[in-house]
Amino acid sequence: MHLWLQVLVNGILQGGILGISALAFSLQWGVMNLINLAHGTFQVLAAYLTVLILQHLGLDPLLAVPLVFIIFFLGGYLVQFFLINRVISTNLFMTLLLTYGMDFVLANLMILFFTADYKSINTPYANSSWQLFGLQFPIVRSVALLFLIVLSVLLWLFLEYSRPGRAIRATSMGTEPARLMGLKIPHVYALTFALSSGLAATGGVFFGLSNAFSPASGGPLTVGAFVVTILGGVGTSWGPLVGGLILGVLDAVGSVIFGPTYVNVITFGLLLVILVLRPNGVLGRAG
Amino acid sequence: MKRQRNMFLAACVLLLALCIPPLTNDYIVQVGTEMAMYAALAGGWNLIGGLTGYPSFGNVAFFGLGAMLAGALSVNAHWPYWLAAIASVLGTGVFALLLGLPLLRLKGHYFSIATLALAQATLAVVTNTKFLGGGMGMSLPIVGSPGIFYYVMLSIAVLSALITYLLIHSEYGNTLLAIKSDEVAAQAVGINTVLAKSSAFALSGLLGAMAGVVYAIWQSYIDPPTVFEPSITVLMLVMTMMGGAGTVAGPILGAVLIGILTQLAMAVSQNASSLVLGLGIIAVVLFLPKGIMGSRRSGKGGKRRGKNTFPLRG
Repeated sequence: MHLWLQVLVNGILQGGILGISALAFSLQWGVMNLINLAHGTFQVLAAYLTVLILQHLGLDPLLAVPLVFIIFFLGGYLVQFFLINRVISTNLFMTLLLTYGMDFVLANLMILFFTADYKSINTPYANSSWQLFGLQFPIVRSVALLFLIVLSVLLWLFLEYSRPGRAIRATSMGTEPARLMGLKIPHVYALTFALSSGLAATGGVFFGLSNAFSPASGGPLTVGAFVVTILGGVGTSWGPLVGGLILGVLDAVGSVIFGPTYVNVITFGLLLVILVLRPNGVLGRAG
Repeated sequence: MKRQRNMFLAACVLLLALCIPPLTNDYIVQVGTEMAMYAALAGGWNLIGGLTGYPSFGNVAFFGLGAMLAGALSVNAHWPYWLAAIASVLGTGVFALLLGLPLLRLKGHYFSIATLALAQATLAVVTNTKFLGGGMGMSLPIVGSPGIFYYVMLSIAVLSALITYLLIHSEYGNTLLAIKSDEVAAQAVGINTVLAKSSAFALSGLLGAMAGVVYAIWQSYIDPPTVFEPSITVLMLVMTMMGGAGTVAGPILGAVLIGILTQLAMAVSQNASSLVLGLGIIAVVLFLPKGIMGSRRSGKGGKRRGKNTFPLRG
């Protein structure tokens, strides 16, 4: 009984990191119909950036989150404005291919600069846990879950009540009417991608704190974000939270029952079943 | 006239390709075998991705399953390799047909990602199945000479181009193009779109599996991570896009060009070749969106479908 409670806690806490990552993925997809295949590699890059910040500035990774967010926000704005915007209105397959190319270039540049070896971020609290009711709560993952909840609320407030947030929502409902209302679509798209990149990077910091990573770690992260987004429903504010918790718990329970090698079978099997049965997500409208 | 000229060009290229083993060295033959393999794979991808307009991101599943199944039947069940190869190709074709039925109901991104998941799920299942070699991979007996594998791969590439040619000039090819242009309209005029799409997917799977079974005996050692490598799918689609999706010569042209580029970059460094591939993909998307051959027969399939169907809700 106690073992299962701990497995459940591990799953829920794993959901925090998955959820932050999906928050970014879902926003891009919901607003621009863009699937960013470089998403996971952005996160790995953020993890490397955190290492550099820790080594050269001595800034603690958790305190470095705002700095990493801002750097990726600016970078994301430029990438969308000068690169993705050029093809986004032509063919959705082209954007998939473009982001895959970006993924390839980024991953190989990281191999050149940081080598292909696994790295981890060394902090005093990286492997320690809080004890509560006889259960272990790893510090990094617990903070990640808190971050996910706070970020979900903030993102919802931003999209619902702020002026740029409303611009993003208006654009997601239809570019033509939004343009007629005087919105500059390329800038709204760039803002959306900037925001997603910042969120993805935030998730990347937590991923780097709780896992060893290499330049090749991006692929599984992208697929994870995809599964969580599909589970929660595309473009919903609470989907990433719900989807993250579901996938986290399923993976944790599944790897105890079937063994860790079956985690991928569960993840991808689940993805296929959901795509075929409910393409709009568990929380989304029925397909 | 134009048709005759194309036929003449195709014959010249084929003749040139046939002369490679006796006139060059083993290195060129090996590179040529690889190019022929990718031409066959890209040609297979072109049937579903280029002609039908369903960009699959999981075609490596057929290549990998074909290779592993043929290997397992020959090593673990002691079948002669030719029999194992035929059984594996047919089995993979049926696999593609059956999975095509639910997957081809999905559109746009959903289809692409579902096929990506299909490839990963197939890899995971193969890795966990002892009969299929598991995570360890397997060794096949070493047979034949480099020249033989070159000719076998070349014939699969020619078969792939021939199938594409025959399809484009047939009623069935028009059906696929109709689906690409406007699937709802195609249904409305009485086309059985489910059957047409699934059989194109199955043909694509058959060609992938053929390349896979030859690859297995050519390399004589195979393991799941290598034969299910996602970048194989990406190469198929980049080559097709670069050469021209929906054309007969496009996949071949793309396979040869990317093959040469890769070899040139490899001469500089292993890492540079991956970097060049990445930059190449971006360049194709930005500057050559219709491919070198252009898409003379393309319909409106390039238009974004389902745009803004996912409004952001609170």
